[in-house]
Amino acid sequence: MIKKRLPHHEKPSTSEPPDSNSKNSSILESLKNLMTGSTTDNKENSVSDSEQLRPSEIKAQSVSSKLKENEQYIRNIFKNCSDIILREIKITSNQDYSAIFVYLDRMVNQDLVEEAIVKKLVSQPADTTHLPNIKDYVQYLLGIRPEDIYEKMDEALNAILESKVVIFVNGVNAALIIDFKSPPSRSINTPETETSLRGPREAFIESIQTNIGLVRKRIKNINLKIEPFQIGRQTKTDVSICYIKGIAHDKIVNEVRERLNKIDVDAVLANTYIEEYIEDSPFFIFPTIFRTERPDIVAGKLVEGYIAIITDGTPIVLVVPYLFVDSMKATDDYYLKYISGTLIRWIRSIAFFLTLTLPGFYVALLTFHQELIPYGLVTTLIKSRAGVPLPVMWECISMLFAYAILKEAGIRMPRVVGSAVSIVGALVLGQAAVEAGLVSTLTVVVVAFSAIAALTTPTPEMNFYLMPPRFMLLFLGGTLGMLGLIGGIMILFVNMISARSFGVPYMAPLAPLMKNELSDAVVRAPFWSVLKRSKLITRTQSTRKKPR
Amino acid sequence: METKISPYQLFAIMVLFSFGSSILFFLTPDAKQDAWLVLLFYIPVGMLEQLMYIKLFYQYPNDTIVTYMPKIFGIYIGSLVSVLYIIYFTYQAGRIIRDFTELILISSMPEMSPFIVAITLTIIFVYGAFSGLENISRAAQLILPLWIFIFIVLFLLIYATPDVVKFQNLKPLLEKDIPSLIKDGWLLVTFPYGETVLFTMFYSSVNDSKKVRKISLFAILFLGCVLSLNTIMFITTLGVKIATSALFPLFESMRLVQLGFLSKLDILIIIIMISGGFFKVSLLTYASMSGTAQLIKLKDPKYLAIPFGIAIAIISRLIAKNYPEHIITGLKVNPLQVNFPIQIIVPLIALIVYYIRKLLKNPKKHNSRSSKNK
Amino acid sequence: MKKAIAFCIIPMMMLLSAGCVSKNEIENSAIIVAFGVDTTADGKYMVSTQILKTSKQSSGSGDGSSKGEKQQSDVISLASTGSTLSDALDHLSKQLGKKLVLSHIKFIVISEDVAKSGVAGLIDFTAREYQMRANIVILVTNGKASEIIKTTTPIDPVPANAIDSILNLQARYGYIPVITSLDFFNLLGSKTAAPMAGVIRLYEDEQQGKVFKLTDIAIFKKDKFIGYMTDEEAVRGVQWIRNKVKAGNIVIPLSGKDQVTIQLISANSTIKPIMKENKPAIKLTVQNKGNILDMTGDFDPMKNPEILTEFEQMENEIIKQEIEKALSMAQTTFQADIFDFGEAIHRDYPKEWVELEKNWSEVFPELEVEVEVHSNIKRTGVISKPVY
Repeated sequence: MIKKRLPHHEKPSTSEPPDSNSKNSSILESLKNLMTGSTTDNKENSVSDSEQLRPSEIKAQSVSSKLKENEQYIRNIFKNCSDIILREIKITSNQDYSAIFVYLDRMVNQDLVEEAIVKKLVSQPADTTHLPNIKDYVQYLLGIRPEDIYEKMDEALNAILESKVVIFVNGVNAALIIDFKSPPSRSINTPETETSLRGPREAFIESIQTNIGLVRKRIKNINLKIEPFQIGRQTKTDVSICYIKGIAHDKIVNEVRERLNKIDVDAVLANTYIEEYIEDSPFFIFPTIFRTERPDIVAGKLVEGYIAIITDGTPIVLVVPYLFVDSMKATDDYYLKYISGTLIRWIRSIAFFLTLTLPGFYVALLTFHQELIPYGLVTTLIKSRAGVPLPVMWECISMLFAYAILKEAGIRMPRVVGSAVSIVGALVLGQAAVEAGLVSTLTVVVVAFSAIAALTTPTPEMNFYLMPPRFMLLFLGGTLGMLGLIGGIMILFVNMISARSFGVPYMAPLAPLMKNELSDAVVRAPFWSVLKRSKLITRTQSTRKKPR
Repeated sequence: METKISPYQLFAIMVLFSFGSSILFFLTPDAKQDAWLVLLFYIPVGMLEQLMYIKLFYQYPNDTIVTYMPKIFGIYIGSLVSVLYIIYFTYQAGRIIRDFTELILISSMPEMSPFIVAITLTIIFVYGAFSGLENISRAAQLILPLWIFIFIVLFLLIYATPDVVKFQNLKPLLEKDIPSLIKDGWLLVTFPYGETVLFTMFYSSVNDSKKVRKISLFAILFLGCVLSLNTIMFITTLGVKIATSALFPLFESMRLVQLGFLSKLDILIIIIMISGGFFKVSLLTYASMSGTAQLIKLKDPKYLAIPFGIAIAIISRLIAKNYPEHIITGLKVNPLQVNFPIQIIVPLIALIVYYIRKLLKNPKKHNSRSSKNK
Repeated sequence: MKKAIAFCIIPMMMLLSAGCVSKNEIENSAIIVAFGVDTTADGKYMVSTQILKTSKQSSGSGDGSSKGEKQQSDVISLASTGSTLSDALDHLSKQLGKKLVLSHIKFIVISEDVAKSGVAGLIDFTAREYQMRANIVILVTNGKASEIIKTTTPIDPVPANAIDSILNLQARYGYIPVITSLDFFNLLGSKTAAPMAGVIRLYEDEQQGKVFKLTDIAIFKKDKFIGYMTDEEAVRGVQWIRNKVKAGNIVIPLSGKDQVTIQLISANSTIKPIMKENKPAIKLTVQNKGNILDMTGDFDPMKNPEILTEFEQMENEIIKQEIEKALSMAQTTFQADIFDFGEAIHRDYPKEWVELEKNWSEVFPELEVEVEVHSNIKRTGVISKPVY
């Protein structure tokens, strides 16, 4: 039962080097909730590593009223952490009122610290020489909220790790916290993988705050809820779920919450770590969670009732649920007029089907069913196949394999040599292989077509997910002919129908068929005609817009 | 855990199940060019059968045939009857696997080992049963429009191919008189109409039980009409001679399509065949699986798919030595000895027994019964 | 984990080993596009086949020149013998290390000898063999079928294609009947009808050497060949009756040397059986539309449209003549119901047919056929008056 709680309980604080903690974070509320709800003993966490502090020890510690003790305690805990900074100042330049403020180097806004803390506290107001209540003085001078004043040491330590500035004042048995966090990050860029012709050019970055801001910027609505979580024993990565209350279905939101709460891992460095823990069926080939790097897509999904999971440190946001029809939709459909948008969506669906089945179909025809080849093609085929050493199935498999290698190399190779490598790849695999009689021209055409058709799917990863079923169908087509191929398609199809994404049937609204949902699934209906939100996602019939 | 399907899904599985194999054959070859009329004549009969099943179902709206038989006949005889039904479904699934194995061997891969074909088909089909009724019917819902689309395309293409369709082949109309035609077609009572006895297993899964009667009658009507159209196509394209002597006339007639580059459309037929067989066998297997689960009070029938799959594959190989033997069993032996009793006599007796019991009970406990019913 | 691996590997091995058995890869298969059937001296069948070449079009020019000026063809023809047709085809494996693919056969040429001894086995084979489609065309030749199969043509590197395109055109023109194995099967199955087939012949041409020509009709009784209908007019008459003439020309001789050619643009003929005093009769109505293609003489149809009505009358007569010639040949010369009039009567008078069917061979020669032709000349081309 303990395991099911947030991993963070089990180690509210660690003495790990803070570089792994360099993720900025906030989310006090959640922490507090979790703190109060957790009086369970943590004996099972008594890790063999004696260096690590026991959470219970820290928990017991409260902030002392003596400044020296606090300083000693913090120095002790952050032993060997060179990026911790402790600075002592005298409030109102009075020797009696000393204070320490603690923060992590390069994680806070240095200018603000100087300007808003040091200068304010040190400078002596004209009229006072004696301070009757030093705590109030500091609190109201710096404008610290009452809830940002902690009496427990572990809370203060967490605040430090979350890159806040913590102030200890002599004689006050509490720590005052100011949020000046500004961890290193890059600025907002254009999306790199999900390019669009006419869409906005902003992409998410590694900072969760910026990412939330990018979404919030697009949805100015009090109902846009952002719920914080912390996942990862060591990394304590911030994860937030975003949804619009009233549109998103509570059951799915709860499901997401529950699944996130169940995660118990050491590190969450990217959202794939989360993804695999919250997926519905781990054996399902296709993704049931959508990833995107574009805030406009996330915003569009949120208003439809989807739920976004934003992970700190990843420029990719997860959106659930993710259905098959969603993987056939691209943002460009919505930036185009609806007739061409619909047509393009159909072409994409056909391409999806062809990329899966074409190699298998080709192989099945050539190895088993010559009688099904149209007469006009037979003469061409028979000539192109002449003298090719490999049987057509192995030829296709090796070509697809070569393509996979090329693709992989293309992703990894440095840009400088990129063009040279791709030219060699194209020439060697395409032209030279055909001319040397290693492969037949038609196989090259089929494999190339199947490879290119895979790229039409709007999600770039789909390309990789399509590979295993394509190989499988190819193999079945080559060994059992049409029987195997169609059987394989049937099994894949039933498998897709049985899959669920956060409780929503993966193939919905096609199977189960929902007539009202088809307007944005099969076609891209014009915006003005789609009056209702998808009942699939929101579960309640909600009106998107009043009819004109 | 309870599986629920919508009325439309019931329609889809009923239609696809019945089409699965019946669309491949020339039903009632004795009626020659009037076969399509015979098919129409028998629609009301099929509907009557259906009404009988539904009457039984409405008496026990939460039960399947396997669970209400013990309630009607008492626990011992009833359970025996239920087991009989489970065996019948399994046997029928085996027969259909055999049908499709032979079809594939005859029509496209004569050199393939029949074991491999049977095993492959069993794996494909039983996978459907494994995934459950809900998913099968969802697949059916999506495939039914696809089927209809393929059929419309094929019909259009074949009618567009010059010199293929000869409507005069349908004449002379009513060469034999109607009574003898009806006598020729009596087998239709068992196949395809009687096969729908399977759905007594699934009616209770429909989430809107009021619509069951309407939907299933409509499915029978639709089935009859499409089969009739299909037979018309066989006769007009192939002529009565070949249509009645071809083992798989659908296959033969579709091979005639030749419209410019659009030829060799047998591929579509193979798709139709395998997907049709899929629904047929997976529904039958699922019925026997869930029937067994209901009898032995097992919660999830899912993993029963494996033993039943193995059994079906074995049955499919054991039932006949060669194809003609298989067909003779299917056309001559089974209808009288297996299908007719199982599909009509037992449900009829069940219905009669039910009413007799009701009559016997009614005078005594009239009040309590009526209140219970409400 | 081990289980999972076993689960994956065992089916894969099974598939691989099983799949290989019936594998028939395209490079290892011989695609037959046409075959001819002859008889040998010892009464066996000899099948000559036209097989698509698998090798690339001779990889260099050197190879081409060695063959001389002969047209480079994409086919090889091989022949083998056996006691039945399929047996003969099977014996091809002695000469050819490839599996036969019969699905792309366009037509079958039957020699006269074979046709005389009966073609039931052949037709049964075409219907039974799963690869062969029902629309393979049956042709009869007067000489050796192997000669037809062997002959190459400059028109197409695959000779079968050249013949196939002729057949496709003839399906509209009606100079010869295009009978598929399906038609043949249905006619053969009928108790009264007589099957027929188109005839292909080889001619010596001065420029091209041997060329094919499709003319005439081979008439069968049951499955045995009984004779040729060589008269060109009668052949088209048959096609008129079968409603197969959709295009073609009709030449109307006028007074003196003048002639008018009518090009048919559409035509339709209907057979309607009638009962005349308990005796069956057939009413044949032909309707056609045509344009004037060429004419000589001194008239101007644009000024005097009545002249077209006169032409129409004459055209009617010509078509009627063709039809009657065909009828008389079928009824008296061959006494074979190649038009399947029997089936037509069966369709409309099933009750009377029961009696008629028994002695159809006596009824058919006496069968009365009323012919009615309605011609209609629509346009006169781009000029009105004849140039001369």
